[in-house]
Amino acid sequence: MSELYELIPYLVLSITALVSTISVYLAIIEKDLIKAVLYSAIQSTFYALIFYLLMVPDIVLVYIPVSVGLLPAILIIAVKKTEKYEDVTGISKTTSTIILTLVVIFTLISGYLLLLSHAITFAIFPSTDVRTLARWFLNTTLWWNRMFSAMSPESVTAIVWDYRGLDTYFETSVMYLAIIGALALARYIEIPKKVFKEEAMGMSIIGKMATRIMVPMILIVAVSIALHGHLTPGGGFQGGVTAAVTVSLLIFIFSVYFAARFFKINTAILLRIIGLTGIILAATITLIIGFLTGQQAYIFQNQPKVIAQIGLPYEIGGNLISGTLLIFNTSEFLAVVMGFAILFLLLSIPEENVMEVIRGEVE
Amino acid sequence: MMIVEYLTFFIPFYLIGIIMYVVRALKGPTIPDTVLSIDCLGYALAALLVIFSVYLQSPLIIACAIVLTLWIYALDVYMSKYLEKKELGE
Amino acid sequence: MSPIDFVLTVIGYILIGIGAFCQIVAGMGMNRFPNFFVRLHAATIAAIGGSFVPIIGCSLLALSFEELGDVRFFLAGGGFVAAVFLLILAPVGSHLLAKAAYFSKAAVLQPKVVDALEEDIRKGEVHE
Repeated sequence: MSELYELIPYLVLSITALVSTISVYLAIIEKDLIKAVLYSAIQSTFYALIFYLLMVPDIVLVYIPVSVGLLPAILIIAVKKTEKYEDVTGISKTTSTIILTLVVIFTLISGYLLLLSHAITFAIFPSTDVRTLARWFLNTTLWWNRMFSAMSPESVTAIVWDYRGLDTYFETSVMYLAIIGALALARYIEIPKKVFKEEAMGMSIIGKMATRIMVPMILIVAVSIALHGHLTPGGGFQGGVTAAVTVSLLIFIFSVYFAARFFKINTAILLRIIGLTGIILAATITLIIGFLTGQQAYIFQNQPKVIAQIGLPYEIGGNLISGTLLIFNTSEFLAVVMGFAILFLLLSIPEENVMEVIRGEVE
Repeated sequence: MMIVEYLTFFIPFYLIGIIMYVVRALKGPTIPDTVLSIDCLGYALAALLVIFSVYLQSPLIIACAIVLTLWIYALDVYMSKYLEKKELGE
Repeated sequence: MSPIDFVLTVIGYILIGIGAFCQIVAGMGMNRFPNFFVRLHAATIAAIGGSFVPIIGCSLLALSFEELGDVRFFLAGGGFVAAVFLLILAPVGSHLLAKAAYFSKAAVLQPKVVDALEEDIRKGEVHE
């Protein structure tokens, strides 16, 4: 019984690895591009399970929205605007069968070796053995030593926004630049001014009603993922992509004219700029306080350090807020959800209006 | 022995179910078949995530199941919008 | 273990067992039913019987699992939220997919005895 208890996660890992490898292979050789997108969605869901079993819930929370949701959405829009079938002569059926058999045999051997190594070492799953660097991070994220601590029980958020905050800042800038590029490409394209009609536009009434019920609940879950980012797995980006579901549901189930009632592209840009300003403020707030009081301080400083005694409070009224981490998560949430809102609004403008602008018929 | 160890007997059934959905998704003659099996696959995986959260005794990783449910529904919506052959924004 | 915890554990395991049974049944139906519209029945069993019921069972099991401490309420709450989402979203997703498949004729309607919706469309009473 107890051996089986330890063996089950390994069994699940090997099966999911095998199935996802096969579906990736089929996605590569498939001629029908929509089916290829769906096969890659199968692979993504299985990878989510693998990441989950390897105990990285923060990665799962990013991976699921990006690869199950956003990537298929953008690929489907792209296929819809271009062609459905790939016009390339691929490899023959015999070759593909041989390759697939080799892949299956290889994965089975790897899974068998994994099981064998487990049987030899009698390791517990998930492994309790951590390396020195990981032990250092785990010990310095909370309570161990006030001089090194980031005052957050969630080590991933502490590492992302405190230990290597500058890196995350530049990642955010890269996404900002991508959205600036999309806006520059679509500079004359506007959402056509039509009135939203309940019965003529969008999908069926059942879908509309369920979406009306679900959108507030989804928003609550997303905001809670973002605001609890310094306590539980999650954070600004994870909450933001969860909230981006609501935008895509509003556009796809109702219509872009219904979504344009609530927020225009310019409003979304404004809110996104507010979020980015919040990130910059949180990064430099200790520096500003240091300038004003004449003490030494650093950029991206959260808690007081040995030679820089300035820091933000880590709790308010007994509630842990982890200094700058809460501000970072809130601002990142706003920036990410508005970024995806802009992209979805731009992508869902009808093809005729876009082509008019491209052909130069509109001044 | 802890009470959650009995979950060991149930997890293989879920795995067999998931493998059957994958077989249908890869075989599926039409696109709606594939989407429907990915649907079932995603919801079964969400159930498996909750079961593993209890099984591995790590309660904090539960939020993944909620997010997976949401995005599988979103995939449904995209595909049915594509099949309806209308403009995606209308 | 207190009596209420024992009852919660037993109910939780029964629900998880029902879920396991429904997964197997739905998987068989998914593979053996002839076409898309018949497979929708199997999808219903998979979504509600195979996923909604065991998530509720797991939440009850987590409530009675005292070794976890206070965090078990977080697990149970998250499980209930996921279950409610699934209960509302899964049937709606199936409905949208079935409607799109019917009107776009992506899936064949075979074996067909009578199709009342098609007759209504021909009379002009129902629009897409």
